[in-house]
Amino acid sequence: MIELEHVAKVFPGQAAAAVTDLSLEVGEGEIAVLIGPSGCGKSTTLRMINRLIEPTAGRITVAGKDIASQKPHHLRLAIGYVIQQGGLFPHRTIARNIATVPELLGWERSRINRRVEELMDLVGLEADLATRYPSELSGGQQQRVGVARALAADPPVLLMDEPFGAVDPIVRLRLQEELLSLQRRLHKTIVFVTHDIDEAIRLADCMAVLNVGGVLEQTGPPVDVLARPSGPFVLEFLGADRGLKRLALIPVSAAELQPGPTVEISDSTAAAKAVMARRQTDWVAVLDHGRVRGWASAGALDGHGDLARIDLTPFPVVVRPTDSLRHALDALVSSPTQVVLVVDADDRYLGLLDVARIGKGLES
Amino acid sequence: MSSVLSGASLGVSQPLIRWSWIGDHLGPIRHALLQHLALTFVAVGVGLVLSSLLAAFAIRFRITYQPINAVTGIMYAIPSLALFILLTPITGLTELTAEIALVSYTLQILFRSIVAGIDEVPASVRESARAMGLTRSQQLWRVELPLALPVIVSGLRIATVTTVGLVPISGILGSDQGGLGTFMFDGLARFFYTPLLVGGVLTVVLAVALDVTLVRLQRVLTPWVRRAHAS
Repeated sequence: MIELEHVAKVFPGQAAAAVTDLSLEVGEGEIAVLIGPSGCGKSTTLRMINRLIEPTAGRITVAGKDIASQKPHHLRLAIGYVIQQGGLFPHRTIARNIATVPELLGWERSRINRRVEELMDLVGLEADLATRYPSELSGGQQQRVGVARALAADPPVLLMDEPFGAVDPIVRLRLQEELLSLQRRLHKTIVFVTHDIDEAIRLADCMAVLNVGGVLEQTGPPVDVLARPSGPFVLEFLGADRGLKRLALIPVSAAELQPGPTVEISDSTAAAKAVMARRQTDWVAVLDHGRVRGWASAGALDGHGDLARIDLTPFPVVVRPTDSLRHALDALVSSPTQVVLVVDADDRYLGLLDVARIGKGLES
Repeated sequence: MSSVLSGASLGVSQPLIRWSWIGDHLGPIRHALLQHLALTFVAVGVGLVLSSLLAAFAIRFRITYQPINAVTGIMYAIPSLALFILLTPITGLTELTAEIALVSYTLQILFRSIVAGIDEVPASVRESARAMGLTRSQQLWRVELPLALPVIVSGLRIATVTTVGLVPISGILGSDQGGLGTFMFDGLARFFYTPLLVGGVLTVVLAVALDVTLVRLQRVLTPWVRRAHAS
């Protein structure tokens, strides 16, 4: 969808190149994240795609067409653009901000109004905000308006330049989630610039790690980059908790579960003790028709014949197959039994994970 | 000054205001007031057009900002009375002479406020306007000028009030010149307070009224500014 071929940029009056011989391809419907330290030319690269900056050398095509052959403002009408705080127009209401591109394209009033309503709903903005001005909105709301405005004329390509950089971490996390869920419905081709490695890992289908001077160090899906950094620069950039970051990308379903000590609540304590002996544990998980009820220690079983009479301790955390292994590890370290239970969407018991099994997940 | 106004030093007993004079001169007062307004509007209007052109030039070619600022600054610094007199050999004792001088005093303040207003538009807003696909002139008319309006209007207020205050001095050019200044020159020539006061007070009232009008106008044109402060 977007192709950069040997693109370079040297700003006038500067000796060092901002971008050096960069070739990159972004597939249709993909989120490509450009990441690197400041001075790595990631924003410059992004801005060359909608011709806010002209490359010194090389060729860029969008949807197969060389962008140099198109009028810049025509090209930009077909490319959504989101920057920090949305770059909203302070003198225009939210509705008119969102209507910017449709107005430029000369849509009819009624069509624009319908589209604005639809978009506000899509990005989760209350309809009564339409007549407000940007300064009356919170940072997170402004960011949503920025996304809505970029999507207004339904462009196939979206460029996002550190869009969530100015909001607090909790809001940022929510905006990232929203972007991903939006993307599952819209399938835009998105180029996203950030210096936040966690954001890149969370959002990217494909990430491009850039070094100072716009030198491409590595491209690939985050799982691959984390598993096999191309060199010392990428290794250092990924940070010391590279393994944990990878775990965050691998679902629990990818790990091999352990059956674990379980008994049905209708069973006797003797049966429970037998299970514990077989599994060599001092506790047992008690199920009720496959659903997890809690656990009991060996000591708690003494003096009772029926499991139903025993006070069970609930498991503080259980994880589901769709959760990440990192989430499972986190649950595990806070569990008194040093294991974490995996249950399905109906709370049916699936198995256990321990540290060794989670570690094995990294080898896959 | 206060001793002159007290009337005692003239040796003639004279009330500060002779109301009958005002009643007898309603026609000329109205005429002078309208002339004062017309001179002000033309001066500020022409000044706004010229300074807009200068500002557009200075924004496009940054290097010209300082020279333009310096030249308009010198024009602003010439004493008004001197300028009226200096121009007379060229343009005569006409309204044109008055307007040339008046316009020249508005240029610097308007030029500077237009450039400052446009410069103050946040870079992020400018960039997103470009990135949305607005052409250069759409960026100017739809984004930059509206956002520069508060600063431009504050320059316009100063230019307007200054002009209202300078118009009377152009009364030096002749009998039917200078708007309300006519009465001031008349009053001074005859040591007669009533026209002097009428001219002075109405000039102040005019300046305040125009200033208030511009403030109101700005509020109507820039609703986002007030809402921003309210939130």
